[in-house]
Amino acid sequence: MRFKVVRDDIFPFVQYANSYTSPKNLNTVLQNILIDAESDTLSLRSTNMQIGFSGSLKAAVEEIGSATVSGKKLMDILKELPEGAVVDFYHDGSKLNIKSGKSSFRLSTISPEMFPTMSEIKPEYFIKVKSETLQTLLKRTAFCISNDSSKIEYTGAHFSVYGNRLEISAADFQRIATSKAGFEEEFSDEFTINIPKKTIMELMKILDITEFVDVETDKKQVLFKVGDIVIYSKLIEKYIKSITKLFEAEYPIKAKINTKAFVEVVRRVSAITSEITHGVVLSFNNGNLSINSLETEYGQGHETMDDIIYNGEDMDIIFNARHMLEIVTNINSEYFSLEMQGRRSPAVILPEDESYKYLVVPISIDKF
Amino acid sequence: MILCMDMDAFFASVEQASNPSLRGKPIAVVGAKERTVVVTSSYEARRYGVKTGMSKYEALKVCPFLTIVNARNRKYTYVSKEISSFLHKITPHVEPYSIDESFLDISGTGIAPQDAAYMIKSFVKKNFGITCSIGAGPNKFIAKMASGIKKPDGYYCVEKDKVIEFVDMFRLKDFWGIGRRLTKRFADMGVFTPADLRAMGRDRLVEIFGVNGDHLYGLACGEYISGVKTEEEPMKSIGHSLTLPENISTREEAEGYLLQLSDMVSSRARRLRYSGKTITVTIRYPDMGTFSQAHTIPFFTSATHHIYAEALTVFDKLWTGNSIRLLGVCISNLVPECVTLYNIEDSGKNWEGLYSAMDEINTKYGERTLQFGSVLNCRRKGSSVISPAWRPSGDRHVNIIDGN
Repeated sequence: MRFKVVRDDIFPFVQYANSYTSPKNLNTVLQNILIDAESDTLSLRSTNMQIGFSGSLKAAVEEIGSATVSGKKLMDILKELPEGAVVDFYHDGSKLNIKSGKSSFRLSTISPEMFPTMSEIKPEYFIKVKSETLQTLLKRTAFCISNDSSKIEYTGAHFSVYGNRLEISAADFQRIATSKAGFEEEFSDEFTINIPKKTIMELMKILDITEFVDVETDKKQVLFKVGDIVIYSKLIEKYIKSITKLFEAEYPIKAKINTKAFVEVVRRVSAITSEITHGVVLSFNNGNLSINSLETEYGQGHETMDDIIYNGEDMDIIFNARHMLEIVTNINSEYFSLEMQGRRSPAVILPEDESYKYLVVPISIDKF
Repeated sequence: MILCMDMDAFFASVEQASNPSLRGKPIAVVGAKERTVVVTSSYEARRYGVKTGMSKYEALKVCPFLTIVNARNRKYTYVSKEISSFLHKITPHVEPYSIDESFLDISGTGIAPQDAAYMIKSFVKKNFGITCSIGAGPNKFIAKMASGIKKPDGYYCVEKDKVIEFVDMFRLKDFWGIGRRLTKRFADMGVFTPADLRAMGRDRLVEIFGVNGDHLYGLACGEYISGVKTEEEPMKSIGHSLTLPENISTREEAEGYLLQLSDMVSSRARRLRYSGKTITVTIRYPDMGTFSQAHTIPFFTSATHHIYAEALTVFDKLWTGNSIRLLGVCISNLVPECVTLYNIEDSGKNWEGLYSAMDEINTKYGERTLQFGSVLNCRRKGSSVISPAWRPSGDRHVNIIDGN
């Protein structure tokens, strides 16, 4: 195998591919990237058996062939080469020789035969969605995916397709986020899949490349085709039951709050709050809202907020400031509505745009 | 002046006082009927070399005519509570340190230490027929060390200007708060006596041991910073463990005990109004090898069903499949004044109603009146062991049932 390629062309692909490799010491070949040179195309592949990457780019191929090399090392080398440098790759059967200008490297390789092939997928369901739309939906929900692996169904984003709609929902144990968008055309397929967080995070990195994304799935695996890149991922075959059902309850106590002002106040006040609970007290009093940090060894913070409309009786409700900020910073309308049932029951956060909404469980501390 | 009151061979003395036929005889109190060790032995038995922690078999080997008595924990906790409330009559500044030890700060009461000691000793002797030893000193450390000097039924007082002379009577290994590991570390450094430690200097000790170095230097000079703590410190964790009446080897049996333990932990958390987010499971195997694993969940809880679900997950990760001697469940990372029974998984379920009904019934009619069905399969129910954290009152008070 021998080919020449401009450093800037190949580097992003190597960078992407590298984040799909397996962590150290698990399986050597899974730390490698498979490089395949054919006529005028170079394809790069990597996988950790849960999620896989495949990307292709044009290159001046002089001799076809394939090899696998350490993704991390290849990335580190390319990163330090000057921009615009032409890099010459030559696989001599055992080592991959990389030359550019006066630098040269010899990287150990592992035979491509050792590299696992990603199992073929027979797509039963298919949708095509605007990258920008998908990106927006994911941004609004992905942060709610749980990091705790003990309940596997919480570690992914739920993609539900029905009629001409795509709905993405995610939940950790104290929050639910859901966001939906319509397609111009209607898809006959209706399905729900649960996509692992890692896949979502990698997908979000490449969504700006093309205008449309193809999504194919057989409900066990999913493929995302973004231009010359294909992401392959296993799916979580467990689902949170009726994830959005909680929104249907009645939330009679309503507050309309200025989004930007709320974020600023919560940020300031939470600087001093408990590091264990991150709790901030929202105190509705006479139609006004004041926000307090929980009293800790460091002291206490307090701020009153203007520009709110509140219809309920006086009430104190405590939320995790971090959870709250993550949600509210994703709201792009000037006001949002906080709708509650009581200080111990979940509350919903509704932006003016009805296509996305959040639910959050308060912290039930009695004395503060 | 600080007093340290330490009961003499507490459990054994109570047994001898309550059963005249045991008086003057070597006796050893053991935990439960099955698989247990010597908890306390009478002074008569100690003369033969019976020691706390020996198995029944070992104890009988060193003293063949030893009388073995099963612990009746209700009796001991009762006596401890009664003594504790008497101590509060002398001064409100009482720190119960364990079931048989308390610190009292009698400064400002106008009572001389020897008089206070007489009041306590005569109360204990008259009411329960047992004895205690009392040490007095300018701080808790000196008082504690002094209480051990004239055991049993002793009194020893160290005046402020005699402190250094007093600590120099001891070797470091006998110091309160210097354990086996630290002794070994000191020995490796050629440090054996308080004088050796003082010679090292405060700075050098801080360099080696950090904050604790300062504390250790203080001890060598007979100084002890913290006073008598009358207020309970906030709880850091709530945990229970059970030595099983017989080894178990199936997951089903373990489930019953884990549920029981989870419920003990969570009902106590609910009563004391705490929520936590780190759940630790402990397993002890028949070879006494003990293993713990913790998992931090992304939400706070005081609900049995959350703690149990998490305990099971941790148990499955930790358990080797060998037979099990002891199981423990503990919740930590606690937030006070916070009872959480709900996360989004529980939507539509009235856990709050269930738990408050359960807790109310159990408060009114006694613990475990209402309990989970699968707990009934457990041969041992409730805590019959007095843990080192047990206190006569407050958050750390647990009702102890008699084993067997």
